[in-house]
Amino acid sequence: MECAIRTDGLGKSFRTRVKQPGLRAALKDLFRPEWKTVDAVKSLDIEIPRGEMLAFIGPNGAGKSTTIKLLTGILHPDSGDVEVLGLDPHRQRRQLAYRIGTVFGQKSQLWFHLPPGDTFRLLGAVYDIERPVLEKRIGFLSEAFELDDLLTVPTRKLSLGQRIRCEIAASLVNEPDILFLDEPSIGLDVVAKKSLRRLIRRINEESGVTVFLTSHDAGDIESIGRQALVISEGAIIWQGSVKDLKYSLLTTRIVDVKLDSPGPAVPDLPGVTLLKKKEWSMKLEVELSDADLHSVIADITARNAVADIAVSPTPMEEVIERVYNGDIGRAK
Amino acid sequence: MNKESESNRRVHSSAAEPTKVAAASGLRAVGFRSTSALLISGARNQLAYLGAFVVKNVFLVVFLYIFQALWKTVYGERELIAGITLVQMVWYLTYTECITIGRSPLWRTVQDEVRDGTVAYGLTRPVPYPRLTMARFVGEGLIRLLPLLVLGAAVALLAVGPLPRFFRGFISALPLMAGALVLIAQAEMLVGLAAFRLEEVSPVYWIFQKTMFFLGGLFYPLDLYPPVFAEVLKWGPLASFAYWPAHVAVNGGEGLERGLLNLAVWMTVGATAVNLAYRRAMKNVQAQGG
Repeated sequence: MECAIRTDGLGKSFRTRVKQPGLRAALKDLFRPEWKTVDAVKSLDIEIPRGEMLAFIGPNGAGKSTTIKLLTGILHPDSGDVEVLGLDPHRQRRQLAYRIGTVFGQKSQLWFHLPPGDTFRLLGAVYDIERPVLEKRIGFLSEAFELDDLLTVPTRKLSLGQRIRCEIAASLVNEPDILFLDEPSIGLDVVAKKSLRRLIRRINEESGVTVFLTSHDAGDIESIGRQALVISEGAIIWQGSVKDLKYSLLTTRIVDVKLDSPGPAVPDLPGVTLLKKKEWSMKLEVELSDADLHSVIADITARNAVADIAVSPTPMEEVIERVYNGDIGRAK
Repeated sequence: MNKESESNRRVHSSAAEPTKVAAASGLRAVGFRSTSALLISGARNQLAYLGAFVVKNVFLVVFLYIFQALWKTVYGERELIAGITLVQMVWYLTYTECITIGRSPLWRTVQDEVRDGTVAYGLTRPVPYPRLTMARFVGEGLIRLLPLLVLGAAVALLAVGPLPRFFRGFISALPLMAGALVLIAQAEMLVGLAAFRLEEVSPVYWIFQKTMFFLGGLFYPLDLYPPVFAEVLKWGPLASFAYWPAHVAVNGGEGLERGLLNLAVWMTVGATAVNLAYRRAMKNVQAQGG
């Protein structure tokens, strides 16, 4: 399959100034500044096929933003190779700019006092898109992102959810092959988040755009990402499908039991941990490598008057937290 | 059919519609069209608060009133000072003030965008950040200049009467006024980009502003200085900020060629300096991560 992004031993380090506390140190710093080198990205090997929806995740300071900057040509690597859509992002930055779309968190590309439609037309001129083609494209985006009523409203009057929808539509004006989304759902309410995720999935399905998403939101990762890549301290610590991340990486399941009569009886089986117990309910964690889920459920139903029982995988947030902490998934 | 599936169907029906953007196939020169679009957008963006801007700058009326009174006292019975009539002097001040008040604080925008890293993100666009920002600034400045000139002209007219050869001077000075905004944008871009080194550039701007006031002919024409010094200043970049546009406007278009030459030379120097400063700034981004 054709590759959208490929990196080979990609590395980048920065020099940052060390500022010691106190007046004396500040004076010394004026004449003899102290610097330290930080390895932001260390020997990164990534291969992302075209049309993929990748969730690129990691704790703060892991190197996510630096990687995006390397992939979009903002930064050039100190070591290794990088290729995006067959181009060298730094050397062929302007050529690449025509073929990528970016949404960087809170950095708006919409003009505050102008309606989004005007910004789209301005971007069309910036990307040198011919007028009839541009109008067609705006029509398509307006329909896909349900922007019909928003295109003529000044950006300053839009809600955050509406604005983010317009931001993403703006990043698609040049019909990019790759869409880089850096924390796109930050600050949105549940409904707006859901709608945004649906739109991103749809754009991927309709136009085959490769989506490169970074987010701390487990919901974004789960509903947008098909593949996940976890980075920590500048290096990849896990990669695989989002499904694996959720179902296979943590071999635990959560069993919620509601009872018809009070006083739950907890199964005394290896691999079963009681998480919460109330008069009419209990919550258990089952470690699948030590216990058989069927036997556990059979034991529960035999010893309790069960009104309802639900089995769910460990919440994504917890999986991500444990990956970040290095508890699981240290191998690539 | 629920709302989502209906919406899906609509997207499906239009998905085949968009044509692949022509620009992706090859790199075309992104020049005039993008810059003019940015200028127009800058102007339109400014229109949102134009009324508030004009009200805020009613002090232009007070300022011009005080200065015309001062010049009337200075002139007394004299007809000319350094070859300039009282009418020309008051109209000169009107023009220079309008140019100065009309501009937006570009240096502050750039400084803030250097600090929060927006400048680095501009690299993902096919148009370089300085051009994008300066075009917007000039567009905003042009749209602000017009109501200010009307307001200023009204005050000058009431204070000292009409300016001889007004229309000829005004039309001749238009390219110089637009050019002055470009040159000021270049200077403020340089000040703003200094934030890569200094973080806080307001002291630099303060020096630049005061130099412009006194050596750029903002408060009075450069002709009032001793002849040799005045001649040196007239060849300098600051003269194109205020002196040449106002001088040409109040002299019925005289001095236009020299004003244009001065402008062209310093705009070229300015563009080169901005280009170099921006490249240097981007090296900083490389070293420190933006």
